[in-house]
Amino acid sequence: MKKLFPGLIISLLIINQAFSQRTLTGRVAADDKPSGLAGASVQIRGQSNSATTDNSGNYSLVIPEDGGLLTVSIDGYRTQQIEVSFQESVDVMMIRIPDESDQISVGYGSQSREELTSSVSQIDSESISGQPLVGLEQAVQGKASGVFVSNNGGKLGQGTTVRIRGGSSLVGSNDPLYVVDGIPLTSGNQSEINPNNIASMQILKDASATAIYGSRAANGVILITTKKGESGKLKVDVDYQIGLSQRPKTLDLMSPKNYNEMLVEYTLRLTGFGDPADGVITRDRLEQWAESGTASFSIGTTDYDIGFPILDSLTYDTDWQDEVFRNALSHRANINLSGGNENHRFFTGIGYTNQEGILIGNDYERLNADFNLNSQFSSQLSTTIGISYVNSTNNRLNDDQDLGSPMQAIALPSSDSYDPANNYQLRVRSLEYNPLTEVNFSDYVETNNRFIGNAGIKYVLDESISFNVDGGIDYVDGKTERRQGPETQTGNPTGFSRIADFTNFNYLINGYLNYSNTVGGNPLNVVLGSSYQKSNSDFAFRSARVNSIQELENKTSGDGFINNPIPSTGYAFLSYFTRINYSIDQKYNFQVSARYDGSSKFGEDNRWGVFPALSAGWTISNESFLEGNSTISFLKLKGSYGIVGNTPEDDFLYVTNYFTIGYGSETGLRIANLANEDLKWESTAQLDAGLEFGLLNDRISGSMNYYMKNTSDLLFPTPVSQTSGQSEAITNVGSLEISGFEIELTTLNVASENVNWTTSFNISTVNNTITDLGGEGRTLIVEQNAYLENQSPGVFYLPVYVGPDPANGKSQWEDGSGGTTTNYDQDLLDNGRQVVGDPNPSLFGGLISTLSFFNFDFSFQLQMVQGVDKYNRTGEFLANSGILLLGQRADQVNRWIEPGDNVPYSVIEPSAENTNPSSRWIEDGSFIRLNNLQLSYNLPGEMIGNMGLRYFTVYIGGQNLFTITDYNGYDPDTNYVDPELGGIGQNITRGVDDFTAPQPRVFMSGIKIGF
Amino acid sequence: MKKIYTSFLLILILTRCSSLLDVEADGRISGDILTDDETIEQALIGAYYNFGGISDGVSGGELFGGDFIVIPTLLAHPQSIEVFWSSVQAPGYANFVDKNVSDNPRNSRVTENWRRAYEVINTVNSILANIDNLSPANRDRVEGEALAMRGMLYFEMVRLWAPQYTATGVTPASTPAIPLRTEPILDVSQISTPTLASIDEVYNQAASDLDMASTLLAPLGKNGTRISYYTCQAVLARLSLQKGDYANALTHAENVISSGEFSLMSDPLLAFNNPSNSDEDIFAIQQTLSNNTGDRTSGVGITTFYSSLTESGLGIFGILESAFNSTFVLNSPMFAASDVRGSTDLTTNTSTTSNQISTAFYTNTINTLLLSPSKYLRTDNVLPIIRLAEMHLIRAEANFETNSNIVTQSALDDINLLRSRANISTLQPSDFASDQFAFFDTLMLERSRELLYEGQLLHDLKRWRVFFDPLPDEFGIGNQFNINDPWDDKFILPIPQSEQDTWTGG
Repeated sequence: MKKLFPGLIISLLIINQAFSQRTLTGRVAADDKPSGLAGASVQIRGQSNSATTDNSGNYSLVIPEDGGLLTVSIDGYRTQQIEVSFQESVDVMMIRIPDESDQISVGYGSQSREELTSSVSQIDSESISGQPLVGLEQAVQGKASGVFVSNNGGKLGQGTTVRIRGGSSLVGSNDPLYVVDGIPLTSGNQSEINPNNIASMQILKDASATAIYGSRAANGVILITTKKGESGKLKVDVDYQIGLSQRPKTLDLMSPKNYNEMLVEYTLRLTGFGDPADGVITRDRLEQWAESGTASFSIGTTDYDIGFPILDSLTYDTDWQDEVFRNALSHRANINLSGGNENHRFFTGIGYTNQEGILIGNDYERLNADFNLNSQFSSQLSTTIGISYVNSTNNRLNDDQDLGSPMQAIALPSSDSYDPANNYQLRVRSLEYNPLTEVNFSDYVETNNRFIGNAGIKYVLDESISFNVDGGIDYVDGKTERRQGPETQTGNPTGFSRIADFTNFNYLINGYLNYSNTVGGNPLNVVLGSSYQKSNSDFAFRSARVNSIQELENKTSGDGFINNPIPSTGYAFLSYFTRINYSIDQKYNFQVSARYDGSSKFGEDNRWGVFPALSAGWTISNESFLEGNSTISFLKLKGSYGIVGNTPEDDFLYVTNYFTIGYGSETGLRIANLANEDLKWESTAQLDAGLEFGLLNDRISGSMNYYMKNTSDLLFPTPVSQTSGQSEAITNVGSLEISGFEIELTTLNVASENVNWTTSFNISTVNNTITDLGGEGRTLIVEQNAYLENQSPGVFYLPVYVGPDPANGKSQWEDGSGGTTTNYDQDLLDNGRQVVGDPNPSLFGGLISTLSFFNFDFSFQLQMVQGVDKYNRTGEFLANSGILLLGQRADQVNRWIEPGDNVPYSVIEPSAENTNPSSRWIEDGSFIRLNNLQLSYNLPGEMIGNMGLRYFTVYIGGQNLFTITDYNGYDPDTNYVDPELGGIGQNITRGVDDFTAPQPRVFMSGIKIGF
Repeated sequence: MKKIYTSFLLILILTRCSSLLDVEADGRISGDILTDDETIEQALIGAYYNFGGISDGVSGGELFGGDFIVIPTLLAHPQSIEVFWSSVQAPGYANFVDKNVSDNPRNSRVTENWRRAYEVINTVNSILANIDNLSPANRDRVEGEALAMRGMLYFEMVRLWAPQYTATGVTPASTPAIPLRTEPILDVSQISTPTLASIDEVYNQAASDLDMASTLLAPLGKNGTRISYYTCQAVLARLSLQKGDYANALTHAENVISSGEFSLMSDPLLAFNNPSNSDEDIFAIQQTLSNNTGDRTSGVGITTFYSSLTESGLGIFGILESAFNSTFVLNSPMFAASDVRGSTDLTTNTSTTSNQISTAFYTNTINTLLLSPSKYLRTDNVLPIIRLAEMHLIRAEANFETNSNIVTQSALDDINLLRSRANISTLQPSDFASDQFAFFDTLMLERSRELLYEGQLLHDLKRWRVFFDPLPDEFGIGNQFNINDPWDDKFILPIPQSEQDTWTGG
């Protein structure tokens, strides 16, 4: 009876409801199939009626009048439950359950989102392939939390700086480790991989994720997976893109009239007339003198009459920006073939890119060829093979700070002009070097041949054990041929030619075993393996004072011929690694990983190190109390701790090294460094705590992370007694800390048959502090940047500019003891330097929004960088009140000219000994930029189906379309590093704009066809 | 199945074989390399390279090939009334022009020369420690040259970085000078805080190095362009003179002159700007277009500073012609009109080339109010460090001092050799009949004229304690009494701050 009673009630209810039924219609789509999901089962919970969606995802279901809990399910998707009351139509958006193709690559294997206990950001192919990129690293900009990408400059080939969770080293590399299809690169080849052929990029950020890469993981790891073929019929993908680049901003430079007035003032002050305080020089008089070409005035009873013959000739009006910038075209085309059967799947593609730079003389051309083949010979044996080849040619420009760099032209006088018939020399101020001379009479060609190859065998022994053996080769052969004609400054008088060769050969062999089983009913996964990698680089350099590369190649001796042998470099890693994952009840996930690394870079006693990590995750949403919770669909807490390492960039610091020099006609040796057998890894301990969530059936999903990194045994050049013949030695002395918050948030704003709108947002903070440099008051200052204890690395450390002295207009700086001084001298540099800015951003992020509307797709990406200072070194020349008599920014008319002036800029001091770097040129470098915008139109399926096409898309878009910033220069996203600075100098120099070219604004249009 | 396991494990357990981590790289030169003739000879060339201040494009410190000439020159000659320096282009030298370097131990030139001098000393010490690895045929020569370089450097350093040997208040046996290193340092762990040796200890080390080198090198004659027995003797003459040890100065100068290996050029101007050693050069730095002490593109080096010719220099150093014969400028060379060592060419301009220069001075083509000296005009010429002319001057002075200040004919003969080739009148003993000490003034003048701007005057003023011109800041009528004492601390280079900073940790 007891049993019968509820049954009776239920049957009564059924009977009751049977009398009042209605039809519910709607459409089921999925996040990966917005056009509609066929075959989904639709049912009201507890009802027997069910329906299945048709090919367009539509359904029609008979339901009780007052509705119920609508349940939609289909294999591969998370079952959705929606409360239906009186609606007549309900659309349902399904969320796909991650399957193998959704696995997140973690190095030597992959994991699902549930299993993952470490911090990994993922970037998919769609957000990479559409952009006209030169370097692949740019694809990451603004897209992942904790990853800061800045452009070194806007010249093609200038590269980028990538920092994952700050920089953990001061003198070692802060670049992440790039791993392409399992091969850790040492060549820099990642930059020129075809972005179109990237399947995904994973960014491993915390120690738990990176520990498997051990001693090279302190700066994070970027795993790049290239596209692979799928079984099925042959697919052909073709795309073409054309782009137009231009300079994104025009600087307001001084008019010829104002320049000429400045010239008169400069000349008078130089010759001793018009001591600023005596008031002889006034604005009115300058204007009058500049116009008449003479200056006559009286002091006391003496009359002076000074002519300015040069003014008669300075009558031009040259827009130097127009002379060096141009509208530049770019083309890009790809053709890919892929396909295969159940046993063999292949992918092959050819890509071609040709870009003109926005500065004259700057071009880039690249050919990519890729092939890979995955074969399954039996249920047990499978193989992979992949080959990627790149050939690129870059017509380069002189380094930014070089007078031959086109950007330098903006500091030429606007009232002057040049004569193409006379080597482009300036017509009047012919001693000023015109970069047009350089561009027209020199060649600077860099060619690179790059190759990445990999091959692997996987043998599945049984359900629980598989073995992988794979190997890879990573190779680059680069050549730079540079000729500067006799007309150029450096080439004068015979011409100057240089050839530099560089090759890097890096090979790797891995063997690892994967063991999966259940222990106590719960899955256990173990990866255990070893790896050996060796990288070798060779260099060669030749130069001679001749005007032809050919002539240099044939030369063996003679004037200025230099062909000194340059020692090769090389290093090897021998490593053993393991990763153990254990999951309990799909709720509690644990991971232990470790790498035992041996490096050739240290003395025998310090070669080996262990880099362990441990992490745990608690998937709260799998707990019974959250099951069926309609608000929280996914929730996971996770934490990790681990230690990873970093090696010095120099390969042989543990031993005394010599280099060759020439004296007279003989070759000799000089000590490069003293041996340091105590040298060891820098080690970075990292703690990470995070939360991942999905709300409202994952319509809202995201993560929050906090991390803290502490690098100890930091390598730093320690001053040593110079009676050793050396002034410093790299030793493990310091420590630094980095901490930050990261938030990633993705929302599915609208999901319906014809409209689908998602938004991804990420924001990160990074707080980087040097805690110890190994000695009281120890510092390292390289020009404007410094490493100081208790400061962010690379802070701007300069005298503080106060402004002009109202009495005489002279520049004033804080003297360090409470007063001000007008003398810029060693005393000021010794006592007056202060931290005046921080080039490391404290906050950065990005916003990507994608809207599909019928057959249109619209997307845009915003990038934001806040809390960052820039050193506008261009200003030292272009905005310095005219002390070097160079062309100036227009605002420099607001310089002190006569007593009583209340203006921001100092008087021209022609006798100033240098440009006096100071806080005068520190600026806020924060910006918000519309990085990318794209509008595509997909031809409707029924239309292209007839043509045998899978898709046909045309699009228009733009890059770098606008920037909101207070920065005065062309582009706040610049990070120029003089390549001639050594490794340490390149590390410390940051946030500098030194006549650095801006990122171009690009308009592009393209077509993509698949058949 | 077992097979698979085994083969896999083989791959997996790449035995912890350290040989896999013993990476070599082509062309790499590292470790304990001074084991054979070839590498030890190359290390010696490396020592010459630094010793001669060949530009490395990085930090500089030109030692004998530049700064040991430029620094004392700027310290000894008055600014504004005689010499000018463009501190904009070469700011590291402003402290010498302003005579305030003793207050600025951070001066970059002081630091770089200090470090590079010890780099040579460390290289030399390594060579000496491995000297038995050389074949006997080369051993004496290499050891001699190495010792001589160390001796020359210690002598030059002690007279720049320490008080004058003979100065009042200085006790050579105890007054601290500079650290003496005679053992090689090849590992960071071997670096320790040095102690300062006394002036005597440094002089004695220098003298004993040069004495031993003399013995080792004596059989080798002029020894090509390398340091020879005669170089050692010439430097010992200088060293003895600096200590006031005239008897030894006489002997060493005599050893060089009487050998007959060297002869004065017919014209003093011919002693400079030669592609190879002149007959007068006892030792000269070898330069080529690619290996030189710095050219105008590098912005450093004595040619860059001294020459104002478009092809070679930047004219950073300039001279006022009025100083050449001025009672107003103390220690003026007082050139007679006919003295070719004071001859000037006022027609030069930016298109003048070095082969068109046939005078001792020419119009500075960049600042035409000034003159440029014609010494060190080209970076592909040898750079004379010690010349026979100086030996005659030393012999004359030592002769005078060791003969109870009697003006001997032989002393005058030495002086007259230089005077007559410079086209000025010769002197007779009778000229000094009324005042034999007038010979001293003559000698001072001849040294000043013959070695002008070669960096010797400062050391002469120190040993003679001849006062010289005031600072320009203090310059003015009525301020003539405020003259400089060469024994003042401000003419002693400070031990670099960066060196001292490393001492605190012990």
